[in-house]
Amino acid sequence: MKPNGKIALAAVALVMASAGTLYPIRNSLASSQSEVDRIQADLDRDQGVHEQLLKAHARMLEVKASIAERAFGLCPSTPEAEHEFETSLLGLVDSTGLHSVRMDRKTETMDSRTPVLSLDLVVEGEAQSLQKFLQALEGMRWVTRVLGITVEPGNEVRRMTLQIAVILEQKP
Amino acid sequence: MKRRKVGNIGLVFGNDTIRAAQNVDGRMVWSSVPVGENAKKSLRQLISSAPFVGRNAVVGLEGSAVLIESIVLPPGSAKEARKICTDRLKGDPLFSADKAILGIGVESMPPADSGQSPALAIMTAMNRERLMDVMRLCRDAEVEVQAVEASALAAWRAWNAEGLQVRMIRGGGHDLVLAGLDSKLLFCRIVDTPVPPLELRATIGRAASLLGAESFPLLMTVGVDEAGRQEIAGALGLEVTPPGRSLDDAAAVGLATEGPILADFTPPEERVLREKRHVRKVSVAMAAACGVLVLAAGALGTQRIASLHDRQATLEQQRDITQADKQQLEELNAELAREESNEAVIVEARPGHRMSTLFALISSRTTDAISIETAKVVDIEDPAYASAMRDKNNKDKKRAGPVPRQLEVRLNGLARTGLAVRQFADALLGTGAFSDVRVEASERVLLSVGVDGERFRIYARAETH
Repeated sequence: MKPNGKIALAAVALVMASAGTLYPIRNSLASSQSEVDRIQADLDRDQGVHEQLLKAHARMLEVKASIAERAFGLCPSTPEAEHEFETSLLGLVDSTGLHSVRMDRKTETMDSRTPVLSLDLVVEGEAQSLQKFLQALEGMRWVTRVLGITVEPGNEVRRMTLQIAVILEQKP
Repeated sequence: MKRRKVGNIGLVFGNDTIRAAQNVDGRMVWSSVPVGENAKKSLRQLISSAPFVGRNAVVGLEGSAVLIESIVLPPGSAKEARKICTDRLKGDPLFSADKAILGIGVESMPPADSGQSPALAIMTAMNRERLMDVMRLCRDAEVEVQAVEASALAAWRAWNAEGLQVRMIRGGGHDLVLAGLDSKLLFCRIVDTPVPPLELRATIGRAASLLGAESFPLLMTVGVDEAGRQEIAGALGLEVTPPGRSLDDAAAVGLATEGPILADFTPPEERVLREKRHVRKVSVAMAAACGVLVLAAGALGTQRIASLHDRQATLEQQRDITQADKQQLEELNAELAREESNEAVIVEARPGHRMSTLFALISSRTTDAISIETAKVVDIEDPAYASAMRDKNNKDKKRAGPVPRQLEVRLNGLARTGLAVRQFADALLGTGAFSDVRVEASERVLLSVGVDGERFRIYARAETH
C-alpha cells in the first residue's frame, strides 16, 4: 500500500475513533437539550398561571366580602354549627313563652339541590307566643324557612308542630 | 511564536572526517569532527557540536567510496547510458555492478552538424558496502536520511552563478573541478590535491570542449588562499576569484542547499523506512490533532451538558412552583365556585313570604264570629315547576334561579253563621297575600242544646319563591 493510502487509512480510523468517542456525548447532549426544551415548553404553556391565581384570589376576597355584607348567611355544614343552631332555636322557644315537647332533626336536600338541616319541632303555647317565635326565627343570622305549621285543636294553650329548615353551606 | 526556517542538515562522510552544515534562518551552521573508532558516537558528537535543528539530513559520500566520471555518449545512445556505464565498470573491484550502485545524470547537448545531438553524462558509482555502513550509522544515530548523493556533485549547489562557469573546490584531500551552465552541473572531475597546473589546464580545456565552449572567462575557487589563486591564475592565464560568499565546506553547504539532485543513491529499504517514518509522523500528527479535537469537543460537550443540567434543574424548580400554583389555583377555583354558589343560594333562598306575617294576617282577620280549631300551613315546591323538571322530554328546562314555591293553608273551625265564614274568606283574599281562597266545606251543625253553628273548612294558597 502506498504511503498516502496508509495515511488515508489512518485518517479514516482516527475519524471513526473520534466519532465513536464523541457519539455518546452527542447523544447525551441531545437528550439533555430535549429534556430542557420539554420543560421549557411546559413552563411556556403554564405562563399565565400565577396571574390567574392572583385574579382568583382577588375574586375570592370580593365574594367573601360580599357574603359578609349580607344580612343573612348560610349555616356552616359542621356538627358544631348545627348543634349551636339547635341550642339557639330551643332558646328562642323558651324566650317566646312556648314549651318544647319534642324536636327531631335530619339533614336533607330542599328542591333537590340545596342541603338543609330540617327540624320537626313540637311545642305547646298560645298563638301570640307562636307569632313571637316566628318573628324571632326570621330575625336570626342564618337563612331559615318554615316549611309547615300544624295547629291542633284546643283552648288557649295548643300543641303546634313546626317544620323548620335552616339552609346549610355546601360542603367542599 | 515565530517559526524557524531551517533546511536539511548536509552530512558529508569522508574517509577520516564527518562534516555537517545547515541553513538556519538564513545563516549557515557548520561543524566537523574526525571519525573515531566509534563512528556513531562521532556522528552524535557532530550533531550536538553545533546548533543544528532537527534530524533530517541529506547524506553525501566522498573519497574512495565514490567514483565520478564525465563521459560523452555517442549521438542517439542517451537511452542506453546505463548499459554503457555498467559496461565501463565491469570488472572494477570496488564499483562493479554487484558491488556498487550506479547513478547517471544525462544532459543532451545542442545538435551537431550531422543532425543528431550528443549527450553528456556524469556517471557516479557508490560502493554498496560503504553506503550500507553509512545508512546503518545514520539509523543508529537517529538521523533521518532524506537523500544520498555524491558530495562532489552536491558541491555545485553551494552557491549560484549564471552562465557558463568552471569551479575548483579544494577540500578533503581532493580538488574538484566542476563545470556547468547556470545551475546545471555538466562536468565533474576529482583530482588529488594539489592538482598540477598543467593537469588543471587540461581538465578545464576538456570541460570547455565538452560544453561546446572555447574557454571559460574565469575560474571560481574554494579552499584556495589568495597566493594559491594568483599562482593558478598565472599558470592558466585565467582570472581566478572566490565565490561571492565565504564557504567553509562547499560540499556540506551544497548538500544542505535545496536543489535538483543529479543522482540519488538512497537504498530502497531506506526509502521504505523513510516512507514508514513519514506515515508514522503524519499519523501521529493526525492522532494528536484528533486527540486535541476530541478532547476539546469532549470538554465543550461535557461543559454544555453540565450547563444544560443546571438549566434543567432551574427549570424544574420553576415548574414545581408553577405546579404548586396550578394546584392552588384549582383548589381556589373550586372554593370560589362553592362560595359563589353559596351566595347564589343566599340570594335565592330569601323568603318572599314571611311566615310570621302570614300568621299575623290570618290572626288579624279572625273575628269573634270565627273560631279556628286547626290550622295547617305547608310550604311546598310549585307542583307545575316540579312536574316540568321531572319531564324528560322537556328540553328547555333549566335549573337556574329560585325555585317557585307555594304556601298551602288549610283552616278548620266553627263560625256563628255561614255569612261569617264567607266574610272571613273574603277578608283573607282581601289581604292580597293569597292568590286563591276557597271555602271547601261549610255546614250547619248543632253545637249543644239550643246552640248551633257553622262548621267550615277553608283552603288558601299563596305563591312565593
